[in-house]
Amino acid sequence: MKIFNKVTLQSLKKNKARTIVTIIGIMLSTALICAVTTSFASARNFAIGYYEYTEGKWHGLEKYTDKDTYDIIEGSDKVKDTGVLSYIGYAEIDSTNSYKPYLYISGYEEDETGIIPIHMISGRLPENSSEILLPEHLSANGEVELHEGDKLTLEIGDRKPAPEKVRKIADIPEYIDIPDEAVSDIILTQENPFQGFDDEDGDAISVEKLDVRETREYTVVGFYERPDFEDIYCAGYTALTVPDEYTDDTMFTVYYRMNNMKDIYDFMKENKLDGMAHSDLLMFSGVSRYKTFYSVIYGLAAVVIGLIMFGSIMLIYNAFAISVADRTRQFGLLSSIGATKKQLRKMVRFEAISLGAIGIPLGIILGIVGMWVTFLAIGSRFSTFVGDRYPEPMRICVSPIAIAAACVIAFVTIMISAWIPSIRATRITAVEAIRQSKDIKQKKHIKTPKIILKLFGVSGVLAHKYFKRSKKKYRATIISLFLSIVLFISAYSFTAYLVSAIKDANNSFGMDYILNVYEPEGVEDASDDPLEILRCIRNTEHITDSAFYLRDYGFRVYADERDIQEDYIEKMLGSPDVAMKILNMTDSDYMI
Amino acid sequence: MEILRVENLCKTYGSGENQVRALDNVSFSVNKGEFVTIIGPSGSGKSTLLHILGGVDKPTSGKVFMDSCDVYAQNDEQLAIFRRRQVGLIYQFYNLIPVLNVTENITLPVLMDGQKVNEERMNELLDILKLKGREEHLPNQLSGGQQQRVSIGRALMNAPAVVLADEPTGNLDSKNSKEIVDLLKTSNKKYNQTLIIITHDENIALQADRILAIEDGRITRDEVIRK
Repeated sequence: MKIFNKVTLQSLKKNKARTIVTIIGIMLSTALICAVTTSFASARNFAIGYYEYTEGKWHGLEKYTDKDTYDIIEGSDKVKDTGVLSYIGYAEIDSTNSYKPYLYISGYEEDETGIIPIHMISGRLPENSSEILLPEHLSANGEVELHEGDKLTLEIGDRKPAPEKVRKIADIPEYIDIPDEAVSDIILTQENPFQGFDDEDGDAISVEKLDVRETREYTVVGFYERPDFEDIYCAGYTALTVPDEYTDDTMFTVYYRMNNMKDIYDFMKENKLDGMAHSDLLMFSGVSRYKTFYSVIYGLAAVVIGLIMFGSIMLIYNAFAISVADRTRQFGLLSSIGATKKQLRKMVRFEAISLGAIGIPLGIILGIVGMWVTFLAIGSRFSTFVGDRYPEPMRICVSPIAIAAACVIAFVTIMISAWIPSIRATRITAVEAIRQSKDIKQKKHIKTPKIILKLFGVSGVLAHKYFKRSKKKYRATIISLFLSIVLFISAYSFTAYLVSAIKDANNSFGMDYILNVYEPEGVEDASDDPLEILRCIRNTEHITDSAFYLRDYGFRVYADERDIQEDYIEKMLGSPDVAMKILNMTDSDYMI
Repeated sequence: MEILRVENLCKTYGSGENQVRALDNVSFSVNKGEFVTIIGPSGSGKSTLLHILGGVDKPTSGKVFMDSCDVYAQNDEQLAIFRRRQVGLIYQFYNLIPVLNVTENITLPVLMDGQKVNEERMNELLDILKLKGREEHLPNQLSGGQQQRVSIGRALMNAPAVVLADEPTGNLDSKNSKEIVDLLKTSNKKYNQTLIIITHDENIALQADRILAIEDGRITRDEVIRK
């Protein structure tokens, strides 16, 4: 076989132009495929980074659970790391947000694993139980101004429901009234929003009480970003300190990370843990209970790669076919002195492999460098998709699987491209190949429209005749042209779509300015009439378009249980009432 | 001893009104060690006949027996191996592989077979072909006569049953032509090699043991000159 390989390599060396064109074709195609697989890997990496940063690196979470559960999780050999927030209590602070009147003091033991997302802004983490770390929104949202080094005396206790306060506000029929004893054991946590009603000014009238246990003094040692685990409805700003000794009654919120994240759902089932799995993180890491997600992602990738493959095959095939006459002759020669078709095909395969051996690595490098530059240029814009909570730009992720996939796909592309001309070249008999009787066959007289002569002169006529006589030869050219136009248009529209999507994400559906007008109940003032305001806006110069909707808050709709899916009711703890928002708008402004 | 027999060989090109009959019911046989020349005007079907004998073109109908093997009853793979081992083809335009040097071109049929090259035979051939000292040269570094000698070497390397030459001197001057014909004759005598040559040159034709004349795809004359 050596002699065939030598013929192949020497021929490649001799036909430098063709070899270079082919290698460039392979390179481009590999680079494109590599770019696609790398983009997917990078986007996935970005998503994982986003969730790990904002929500933490945990795989499973048990909220407000007991010491036993904590011990089970901590003690399991399937669990790699645990992070724990312990409940210490609430203390009233002077917050202007009447629905968030407390500081929620939580025990936090410093860990480097990032399993609990704590992001420092200034200062340092508390080192003992008399130091405290405060969240930034305590000042931004609650307008409580504290600084590093400030001493803080807090009366710490438990939040409890206060039926007596409810009774004070309204007459409650006996059959719904809850006896004090029934609620005395209930301790409200961050899971429970502040218990209260709106008064006339929109402030809260409390129907809960704080059962003070102790008074402690803390020193403020720093500030951290509003934590993800504090939901918007939580009644207290989460402050962190070093916990005292744990007791049997301590409530724990346990974050844990598995050795093998695939075990998470089984682990939860085995140990009867009813907490949450970090489904977003798990999904992007490749563990999903929902197969549709992956079929969509892979389907999308397959479509894009399929398009690129089709284009590449056309490109590389043309490069291989550039000197098909040359090759045909060479094959004919070899065949006439006794080369079998098998040997000839092996030769083509060897040629494809040698070209791929140069083209594929170069293409991978080109693709990676290309994507690296691309992400360097536009990576930071991806943050706009996820808000400003995640400071990292999208970076290139060089994943071995993505590169291996690109190599395999590129190799298949090359093999297909090389195969077609080789089959063609071996189909004819040796003597036909040597004789090269592939000249243009004279058909009947071909009429050339006079307009061609007038427009393009004699050369136009010759071109027309040549084209008419060997349509096949031009088919590849036409398909290539067509394909490049299609690729160009689709690439253009795809980027245009992407740009407008980013704009939309930035500007809330293409608007430049939003005006909110509040109309407190019972106030009738013509100047606040939304229609009047809208008319003013519409008549203002430079405003090209406008739309409005009316919104009412605070509807509570009682739905018939039969109209609601069972699992939804289950999720809502058996209550069939549904909170609703009603938006009124004109038909012309309505768009899905 | 009969080495080659052709039975009712027909070859047509094209179809309908454009149909051309290149070979029309050709039958003959050649004995081992015979030196046959085929003569005839252009387009008479000489080359077609030679190609069919060499297994590089397929007949429309009829049979070719080489060494009592039905050549066209074989499949593609067997036919390729037949070309490699049983026939040596020499063309007017040499048809060497441009990227291989002299020795490689000569030993190509052996190398293709995956066999070891018989160095002794190769050296002997190089000697006879006066190609000593040019082993490493590529075809484009050689003269026409030298290139044709390489292609003769290639044809003889495997000691085939029959050597077929299609106007081997058509592209050469008279001095080189003589050398080539002498070489072919030498191999015919020395190795008792069966030799069939197509030629326009009457001098060459007359050196043969037997002359076949073809016209319009038919054998018009089959004359034994010497025994």
